[in-house]
Amino acid sequence: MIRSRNPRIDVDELERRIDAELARDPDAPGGDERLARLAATVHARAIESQLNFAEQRSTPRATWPVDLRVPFISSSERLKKALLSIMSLAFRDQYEANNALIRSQREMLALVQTLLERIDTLEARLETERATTRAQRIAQRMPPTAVATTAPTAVATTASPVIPSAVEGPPQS
Amino acid sequence: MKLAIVTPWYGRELIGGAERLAWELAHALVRTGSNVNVLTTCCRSFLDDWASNYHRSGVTTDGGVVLRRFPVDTRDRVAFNRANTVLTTMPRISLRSDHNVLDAVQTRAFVAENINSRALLAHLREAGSTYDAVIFVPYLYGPTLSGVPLVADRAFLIPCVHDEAYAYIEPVRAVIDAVRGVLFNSVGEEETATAIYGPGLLAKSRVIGHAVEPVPPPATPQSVGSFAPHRSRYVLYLGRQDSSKNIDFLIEAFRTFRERRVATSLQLVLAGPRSAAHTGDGILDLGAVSESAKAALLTYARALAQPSVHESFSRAIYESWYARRPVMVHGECRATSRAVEDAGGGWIGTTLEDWVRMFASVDESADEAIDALGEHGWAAALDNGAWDVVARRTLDAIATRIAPPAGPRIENLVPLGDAGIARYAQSLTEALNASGADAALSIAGSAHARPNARTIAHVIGTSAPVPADIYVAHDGELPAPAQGRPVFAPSHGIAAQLEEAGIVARVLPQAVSPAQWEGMRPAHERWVDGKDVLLSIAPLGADEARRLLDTFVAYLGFVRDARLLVFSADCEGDAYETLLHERAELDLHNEVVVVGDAQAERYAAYRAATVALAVGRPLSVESAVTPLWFDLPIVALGDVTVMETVEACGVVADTFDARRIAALVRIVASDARIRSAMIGEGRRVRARYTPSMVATAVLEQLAEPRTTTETADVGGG
Repeated sequence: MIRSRNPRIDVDELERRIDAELARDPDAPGGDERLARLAATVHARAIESQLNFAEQRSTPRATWPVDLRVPFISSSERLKKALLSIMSLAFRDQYEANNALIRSQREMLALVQTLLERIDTLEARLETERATTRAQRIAQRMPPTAVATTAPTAVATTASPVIPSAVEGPPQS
Repeated sequence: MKLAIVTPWYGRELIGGAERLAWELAHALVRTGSNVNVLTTCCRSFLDDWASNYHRSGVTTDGGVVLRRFPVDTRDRVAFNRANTVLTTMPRISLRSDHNVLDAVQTRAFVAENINSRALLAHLREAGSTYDAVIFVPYLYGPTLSGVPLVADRAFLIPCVHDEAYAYIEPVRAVIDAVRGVLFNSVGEEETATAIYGPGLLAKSRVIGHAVEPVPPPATPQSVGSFAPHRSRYVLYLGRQDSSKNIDFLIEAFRTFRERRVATSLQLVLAGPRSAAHTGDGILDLGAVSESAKAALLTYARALAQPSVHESFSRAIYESWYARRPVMVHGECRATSRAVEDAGGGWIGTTLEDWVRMFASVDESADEAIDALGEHGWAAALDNGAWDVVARRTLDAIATRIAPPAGPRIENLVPLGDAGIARYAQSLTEALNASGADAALSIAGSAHARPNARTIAHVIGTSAPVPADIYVAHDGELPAPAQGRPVFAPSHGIAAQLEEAGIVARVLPQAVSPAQWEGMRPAHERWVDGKDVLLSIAPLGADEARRLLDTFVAYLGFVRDARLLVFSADCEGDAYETLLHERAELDLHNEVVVVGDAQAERYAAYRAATVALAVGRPLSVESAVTPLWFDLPIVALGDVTVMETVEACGVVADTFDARRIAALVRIVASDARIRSAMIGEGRRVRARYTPSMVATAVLEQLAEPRTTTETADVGGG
């Protein structure tokens, strides 16, 4: 919800434009990988912050809320305590259900984090393999003398004669 | 008052804007009873050889004005032209605030080989101190560039500046920094200058206006050659027809309009000196016309077109408005577009398509609708005033800067140990001193308070009783001795609390002065590289720092190339460490910058920013108002200060949602219309916090002791 007293700003129109901006999903495929990763981290942190809040409120109340004024009860400490105890008892099952849900959400979050890390690891491995493949192909394109001086050792030992490639090789005459 | 007006060319017959202004103002100042000396050269006009003496040197009088002419110096035209060509051919994209556009050699050539007069400078050196004030008109010629430093303590500049390369060279910046005061022709010109030189300029500037005499309509319909204005439907262009006035753009827009509407009877009539005639496609070029022909053309036109983007003030617009005709102006010229926006007397367009649409509006609109716009313009022209009004404003501006009227001795009494109240009282003390009072700050109950001083007691409900002339209540309660005395509250919130307790208080906001930025240059230009720059203006704790980064990451989802600037002084507790840690964790080293405490660093951050963002802890009044001096739109989370400051001009979010706020910032950063709306209102809001406004409220109250006050905002809002 936004507001402004600026007479030249139409807040409702601005709200609609915000919705339209948000509808254009920045995490959509083809987007920036780094940004998508950043967005995932921020989402995860937002979930965690909500879980923390839920956890704080999921335990039975031991003190009377300062801003809650109920005739007769607010003035008596004994009545307040009694009422809190009754509430605690009445909602015991609910508290347990809430705690179970929070725990499961935490597990889920941990799982997501693990999966994200796993994706990172796989991406890194994939990148390394791509780099190795690239190096191998470059080595294969080079004449044997050049390979001996420039290609990585592991590649140089398996260097083969130049095989022109339609994809990456030199133009065929 | 003994005044000197320094201008390179002077004479009744000269038609240039600055030359007309110098002549009219000199005579209007004489009519106020001032002793006016015009110090000028013997050169005939801008169009003549700047090294040639046409007039005889010496002293003459002209209608009460003492005219002193000095011979011009010889000059190296080639060197000057080389530097001048660099400036006149510079692309607009090179013109950036705080960025010097000319190298040292060419800058030297531009100043040394400009129109100059050693004799005039010698007079200023010897007799400069005999004048109460020396007014320089305009900003970019030798007498001003070399003359201002000789009489800087009494120098006032009427720059007649618009957004052009000359305004960005170092000697011009030095002149702007050195002068005692700057007097502008229009609000738009002041805005242009503030954008170039920074908000510090506002602390010493004043808009004096620029009068235009109405052109009386012809008694009977009059033809101009074979053209009969009273029987034609046309848009009029009035003025010099050259490319610097954007005439080619106007013609192209009109031709495009005619191509799309072949059957239209609307013509474009060009009237003014020209080098080559433009005719055909409904365009009629009349060349230079007489005053009576000009009156006839203005009277019967459907509208006047002013396509120039290089104006500090447009006489043609006001002449058109005096004839009750609306005008079409270019959106990139602040002086003209601001005038039309304020008056509602026409149309503003920036692109070719906008202008084609504007021609279509002029063509299609009913006569009544056109006349209604013309009436709005006419009201604005009347409001603009005559030269005598401009002269009075000029004298008032000079007197205020040179010797403000001596005010009373005032003691601000503050309770011990409250930093917030002390800061408020300190800014009030400075505001009062700037307005001529002799104000000081002392601890309530201490023996240091000066005798015979009027007193302002800053109190809270639990303050010890202090007798005072005025009370400023910093919470919703007031100690007993204050009852029945004038009471101020620093905010609407506190004024409302006091009202609930039956105490009527006026709102006296904390003064936030742009003077702290006077003469400031940014530490560097690293952040001016075309990226969107988000400037965090709220104090941050660790949680708020995370929240800020979350918002910025969401923003990066919309704009890949963006930067976040955070003031290190805003980081409280472990916010700084959190910010650095999170920045590292999110790999945002290049995007998130912590700005140091040096004033020039802070200045660089404000100048580079695109949007000010407050998603941290509650803002102080200073944090909320300072971005407004830099014409920054603000997006903020709601709090008490934000409600009274930002909400009136910017946009406030009730709850924190990183992606929604980021989307909102994205819209504000990229939508020119919304930015303009926020900046425009921001200028009105910041005016309430000017030291002069705050001081005047207190001084007026002290001048009328023991009066009942009503709840009202000092700034009227």
